[in-house]
Amino acid sequence: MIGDEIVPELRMRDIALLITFTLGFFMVFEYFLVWPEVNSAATNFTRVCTALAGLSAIVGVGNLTRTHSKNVIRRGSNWIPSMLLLISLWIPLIIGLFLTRKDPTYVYLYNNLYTPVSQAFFALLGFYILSGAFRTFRAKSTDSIFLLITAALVFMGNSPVTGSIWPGFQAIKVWIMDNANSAGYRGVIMGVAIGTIVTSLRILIGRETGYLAERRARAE
Amino acid sequence: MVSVVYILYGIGALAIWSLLYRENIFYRCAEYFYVGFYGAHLLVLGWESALSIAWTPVTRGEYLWGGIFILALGFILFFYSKTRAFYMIPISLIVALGTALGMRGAIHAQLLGQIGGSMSSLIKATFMDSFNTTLITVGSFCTLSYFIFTRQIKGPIYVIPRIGRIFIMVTVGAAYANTGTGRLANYSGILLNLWQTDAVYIIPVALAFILFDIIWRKTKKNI
Amino acid sequence: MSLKKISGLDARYLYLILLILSSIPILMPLGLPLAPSALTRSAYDFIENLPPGSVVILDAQHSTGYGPELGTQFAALMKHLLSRPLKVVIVALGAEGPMLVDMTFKGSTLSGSPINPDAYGKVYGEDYIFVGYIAGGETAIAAFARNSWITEVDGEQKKPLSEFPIMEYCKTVDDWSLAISVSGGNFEQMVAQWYSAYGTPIIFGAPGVSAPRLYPYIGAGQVVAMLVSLTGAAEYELLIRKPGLAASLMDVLNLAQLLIVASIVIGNIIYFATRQGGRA
Repeated sequence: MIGDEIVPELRMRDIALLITFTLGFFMVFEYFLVWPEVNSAATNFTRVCTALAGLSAIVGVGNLTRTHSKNVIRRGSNWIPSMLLLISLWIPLIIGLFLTRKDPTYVYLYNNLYTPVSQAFFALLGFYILSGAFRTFRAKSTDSIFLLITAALVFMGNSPVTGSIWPGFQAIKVWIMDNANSAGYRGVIMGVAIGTIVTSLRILIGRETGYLAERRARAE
Repeated sequence: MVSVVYILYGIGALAIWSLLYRENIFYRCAEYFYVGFYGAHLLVLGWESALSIAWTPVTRGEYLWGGIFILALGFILFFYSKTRAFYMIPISLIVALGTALGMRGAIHAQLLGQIGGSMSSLIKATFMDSFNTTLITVGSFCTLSYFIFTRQIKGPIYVIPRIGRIFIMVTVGAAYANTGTGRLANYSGILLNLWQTDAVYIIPVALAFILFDIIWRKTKKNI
Repeated sequence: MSLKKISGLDARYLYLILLILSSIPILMPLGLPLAPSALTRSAYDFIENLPPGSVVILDAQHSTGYGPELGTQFAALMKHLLSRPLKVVIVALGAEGPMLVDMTFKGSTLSGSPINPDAYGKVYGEDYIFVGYIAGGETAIAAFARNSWITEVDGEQKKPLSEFPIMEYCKTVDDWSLAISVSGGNFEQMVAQWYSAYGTPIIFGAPGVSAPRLYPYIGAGQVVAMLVSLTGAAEYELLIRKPGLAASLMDVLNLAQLLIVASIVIGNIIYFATRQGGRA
């Protein structure tokens, strides 16, 4: 593929892995150093990556455009929603890029069309929690009994009105969240931290290369 | 005079909530609109951020080559599939920093911070405080042991991960309840606007669509 | 209708019951009682006790998807900060932050009535400023701590930050007295990049879905306090004596939550009753 063999012995993939290794470990060790030149270099590198992160949305926009324009051209399933997606992608994009996000049209679309749709999407889960509570939440085992009782008590505690029926509901909920929940989550957090450290090391030393998206490049 | 703003609000919210009745074209259109607009918004804001961070110093005469370098790297991302290999460079920069920061954070804040938080004296001024501290220390240790998959834990010490599992169930129950509270809070906001603004005029329209669909399906079944 | 039929009830009937029940307090407000919790009070007290002139970072990292749950928290915190003699630096570390900051100031369905800084005697650029959006998640969190001038221009007027007197007091994280983040995620990253690295006190505005995983950080002393979901926002509105959108939504939320508890109980009663009946 283009750019693959810069130097016959060295591929772009190797350069990318070398960059990840060098700069990654530089940033790890910089944390423990009080050395103005090194700290300043790290700050500048952070600045570069912050700017790049903003531009990385280009990949997402490109992918969306490619996938859904193929669907519209071929009149595939859901081609009408796909066309709506392309319209809702490119019109605000052009307005936002050339007239900035403060343009009245952009603000109008954001406040009056995007906001209620986004809000309603997240609110859907509330309905499913209700149906799950009635239809599937069953005390079938010891574990599920603990889960059920905790959920019921925390729900009761989260409703401030129950405090006026019996103050104990609030106290029980606070106790559960501060102690039992904290104990469980603390173990989870530590387990996740160990996993994060291991995965990060694997990425830095080049054992994990999924982020380079090589499989896709080879398939094309 | 009916407010168009709230009519649009009602249409958007009820189009998504129509999924509760069944999958339909209104929901799909609203869903695709959401995805499209969010993609556009991400790039608009990302561009604004990159411009202010990378280009503004260039206009002052500072970091000239740095600014051009960053923007060039950013544009390489746009040719993700054509210059297939070059895109790896900006991605590896971002991954290097993100991974390093994540690892530092995991070690310091999550591992050391939480171990420190768990390691306090079990003897406190009151019985309840001592009990709570013991519960947290024992619970944290047992839950962590549940995630150790190096070898299967059998025999009498199996009680340790078993206790960990119970704490996880408590955690999941608390998470379920708080998730419900959060999503219902969101739902409450929409319901308030649907009833108290001009969006209320969309409700009978939505009900009419549902009624029509029910009658049409029943008729189709009978034919 | 047999118990078995009720246990297999179509979910759509449940949704209808929820919609009808929670519409009652909208049409007939109930005025159910509400008392601030210890967590919310801790957040309020910490801000109240900040010395005059302290620099407070207010981060808008939430999104429209969280709706009034986080929108009202952000508004209540903003009102409190503007009412105190503090230097408020607003930053958006989430992509939707800039739009939500605008919506908070102008009033919206997510945050309630508009906020007019003039009414608090605050001047943009001297008492408060919006420095704009920084992309990158954890990268942005770390970058902003190292250099609070990273955006170079402000997010409102697009003028260089050097033109605003307030920014002389806020160059790096060492100048911050408190960081408040109203966010849907990235909490661990903020604890890592702001507290663990520099010891900055942090207050979170968290949605219900994220709140349980933050209690260990509060217990370990890594986070000062937290506002939890709409309830936290309503409690905070009570504390600052400015009841708003959050307080008005509490009736609906109360009934909806009680309906879920009732569903759990009734669902299990029916389950055990049909199981017994099946055995007999």
